[in-house]
Amino acid sequence: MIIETNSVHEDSGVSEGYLGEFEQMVLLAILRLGDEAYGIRIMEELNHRVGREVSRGAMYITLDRLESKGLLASRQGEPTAERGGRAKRLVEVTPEGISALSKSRTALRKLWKGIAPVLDGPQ
Amino acid sequence: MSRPSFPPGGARPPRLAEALLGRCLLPGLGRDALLGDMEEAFRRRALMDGRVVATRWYWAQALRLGVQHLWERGIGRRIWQRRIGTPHGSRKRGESIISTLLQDLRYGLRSLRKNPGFGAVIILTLSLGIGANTAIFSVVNTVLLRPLPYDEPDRVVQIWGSNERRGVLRWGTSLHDFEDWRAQSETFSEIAVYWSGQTNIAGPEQPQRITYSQVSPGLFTVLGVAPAMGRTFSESENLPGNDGVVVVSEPFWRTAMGADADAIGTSLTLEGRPVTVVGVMPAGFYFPGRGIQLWKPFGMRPDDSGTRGGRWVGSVGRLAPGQTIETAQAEMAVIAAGLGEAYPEHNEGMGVFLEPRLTNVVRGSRPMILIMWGVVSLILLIVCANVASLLLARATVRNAEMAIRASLGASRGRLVRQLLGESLAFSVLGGLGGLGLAVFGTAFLRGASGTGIARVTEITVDGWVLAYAAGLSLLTGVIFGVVPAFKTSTFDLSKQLRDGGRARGGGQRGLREALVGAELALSVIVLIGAGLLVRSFWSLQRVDIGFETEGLLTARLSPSWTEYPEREQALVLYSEILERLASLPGATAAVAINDLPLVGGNRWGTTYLKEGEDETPVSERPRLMFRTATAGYFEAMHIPLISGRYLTDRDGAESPRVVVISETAASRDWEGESPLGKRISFLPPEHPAYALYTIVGVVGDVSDNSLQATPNALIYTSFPQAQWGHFQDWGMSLVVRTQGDALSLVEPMRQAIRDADPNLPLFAVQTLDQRLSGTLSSARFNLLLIAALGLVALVLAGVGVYGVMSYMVGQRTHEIGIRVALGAGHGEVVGMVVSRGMALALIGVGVGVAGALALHRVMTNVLFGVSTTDPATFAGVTMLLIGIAFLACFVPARRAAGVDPAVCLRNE
Repeated sequence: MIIETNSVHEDSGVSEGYLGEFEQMVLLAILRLGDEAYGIRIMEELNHRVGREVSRGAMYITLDRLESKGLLASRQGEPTAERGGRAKRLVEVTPEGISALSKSRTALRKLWKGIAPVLDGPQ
Repeated sequence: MSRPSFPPGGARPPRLAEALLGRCLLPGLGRDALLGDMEEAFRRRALMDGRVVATRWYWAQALRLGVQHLWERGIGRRIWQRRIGTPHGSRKRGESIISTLLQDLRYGLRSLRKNPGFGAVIILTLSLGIGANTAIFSVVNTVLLRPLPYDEPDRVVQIWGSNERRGVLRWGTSLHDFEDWRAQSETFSEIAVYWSGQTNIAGPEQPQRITYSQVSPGLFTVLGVAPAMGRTFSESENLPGNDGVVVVSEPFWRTAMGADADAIGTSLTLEGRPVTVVGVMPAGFYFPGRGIQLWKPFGMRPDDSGTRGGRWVGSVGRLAPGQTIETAQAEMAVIAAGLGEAYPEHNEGMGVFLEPRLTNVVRGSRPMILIMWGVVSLILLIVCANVASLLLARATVRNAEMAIRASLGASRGRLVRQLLGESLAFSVLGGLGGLGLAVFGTAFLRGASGTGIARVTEITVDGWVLAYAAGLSLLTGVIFGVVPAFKTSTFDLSKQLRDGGRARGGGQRGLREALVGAELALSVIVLIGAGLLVRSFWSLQRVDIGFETEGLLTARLSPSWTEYPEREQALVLYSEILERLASLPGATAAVAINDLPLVGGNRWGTTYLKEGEDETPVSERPRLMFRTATAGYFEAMHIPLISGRYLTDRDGAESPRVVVISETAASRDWEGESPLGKRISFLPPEHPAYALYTIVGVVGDVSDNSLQATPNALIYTSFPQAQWGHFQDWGMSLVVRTQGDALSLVEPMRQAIRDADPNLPLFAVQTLDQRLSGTLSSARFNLLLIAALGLVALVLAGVGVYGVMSYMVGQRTHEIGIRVALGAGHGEVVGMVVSRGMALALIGVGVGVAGALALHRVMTNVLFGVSTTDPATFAGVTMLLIGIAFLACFVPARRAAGVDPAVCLRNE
């Protein structure tokens, strides 16, 4: 019998000021996309780079959460016909976002140190 | 936020899904961005995978997103964060009940996703039950509850003339009585009268036949509805000579007058007479029926309309402010008594009976609608029993899960709430499905117009129906969820954990069996109801209507008074027409009568006096229905002669006056003696047109009004000798007996009438077979509806029994395996399982039969020719359900007997 596990969007990872895995991935995808980062493109980027199918709801909720933490900023883009004339919500990573990412990376790096051979295993 | 418009092109997302999603999101950039993303993704998908796939995808995404966002909005970030890291299943202090409920609902949806087959069965079953209920409720709501389209409709009251001595509660009134009521009553602010008929209106090519109503000018005040254009009638326009004015209905204005904005003041030609349109009523207004196309004043003084005893008009009144129907009833009784003293000849014993106009409109349809409501309620109970039983089955499987939750700290109450949340999730989805079914269902019901259900075309799914469906869904969620929830959350924790979750759930078997028993009992009640209606319909079809419909073509004709002012002219016209019709190839006879059987109306009633009994007061004179027929009528209709002779050509205008009466009239008014040779009169001796008629024949009864009604007492006069009853609005029905296909004579018949008089409209052309089938249409519709519901009940009960039995067998596989290993034969195992199931079935069916005996008394009024305790129906349904139950037990039993003991014991 399996006890219900928290699904993707619930691992907020706010504890200790570190970013959750999904939040990191979203922030990184946004950085990669540069000026053209908005919901659907971010999902495509994640899918394309790491093969991760993201639930749409999780995506938007994560964007909201990152923005309210000040790690993201959003602005209104140009409306286009293929969007039914609706504007895009373009997002970019704030300096706080960059430093949170870098803090998480440093922490992970420290933890990863010396573990790689175990994981790589016998070839 | 205004949005720039873009040229349309490419696929658009499903609008409903988009709107729903939009409602779930908070307004602002976030919503627009998300909807924009969705549309963009949708278009790409539509390009790649096609529109259907994309639409399906969009719906799935929109529903998920919507629920997620509602969830986020509902509970807020704080609680969401607090929940992190706590084991699911315990409610922390400070969490709102709403948030836990939402959490449980969401959990319910998620567990549904894990077990889609199980969920689908439950949701389908619920949709069926809730859908049927909602559809029938939409009928109840529209027909019985929705107010009529008048101002303060509660104050509009139907005023009937009643005659206690004859046991008549609802009868018309005379223009004389109406004038007196209106002058004397203070409880009514206005009283009006009306009479509806058909009339010929000049059309562009041929004259048309339309339905209209003659009304007193106060009618529109009574109803409180003002015209959309123009005006209604003034009092002076109700006087002779001033009445060349009409008010038309909105549909008539739209179709016949081309929605002419300058319609007021234009002229129409009614019966060859010009009339001026003075008003157009608003759309949606109708009175007294939906088909009425125009209203005109009576244009006559009471004395021009006949005697005070001629009660041929209907009456409605508007209660004055502060008055109730009871105070008005009391006042009208006093007024009626006064009129009885002032005019004893016509008014002695005449009373007044009041009822709300709405009650009157829906009176005929009410019993059947309420019965249908009862039936669908029973079906919903069956559905609840079925779903509860399924949930109980699953509960057993989930004992281990519950045990783990409890051991992690969830209280029992919390577990019950969680399980109830799951059932609510089911019922909400079932409710949505049901609503969809109800929308289709109401469309089907609207299509049943012409079956005599009042206001049937008005049936819609409105806010009340939506609220009903929502309430019903929540209620059913609780009903079917509460017992399984408590049962599931009751367990011995240590024992469960020790067993490692291989629960037996023996304690729940009794409950599930009880549920199946209840299901069977409810199904018996529904099916016996359905069975009784089937039997009733069968008796209706076998009613001896007293004449032969085959090969008879009928049509109605009404020459106008303006063109045929003298009786003799009309007689000549009819005889010419009948001659032409009789000589058509394929026709063997052509006759005419003022009213055909099965027309569905008590038209042309008359009292009469036996010779020498002139002193009998009018109210005590025998009453019968008056017919006037041409020679050969009985022969053409194949109405049998009981004694004496038929009417013949020799009974002309100058010959001695004769009548033929029906069997019922003969046995009622001439009990124990022969009526032949007896003389009667329709008018009192002092009347200038007094004449004596000799009874020369007695003929068989015919179904005059409807198949259900006992045949009326009829009196037939010879057409040339008739003193009234065949002109103007009344007209005559033509009957042509044909060899072969009666419908092939329709065109020749029209041509023959045109040859006789090109301005005569012919209408209601149909065969008598068609007419007969039309009178059965309402019964047929009821039958179809209840048969469909009965089938649903049967399927649900069958599935329920099967589910429980195969579950029981599954639970006992181990035991059966041991039995087989110890040498139990195939037959013994089958017998063991089947006998257990059948015991259950017999108890359920027995309870159902008892319930049916108690409940079906309410059907007395809608059944015909079959008793509510009809043994054949009871026996048939009992056998059917026992048979179904047997099958549902036998299949799992056979499977059980096939158990391989080795496999079964090894699995343990």
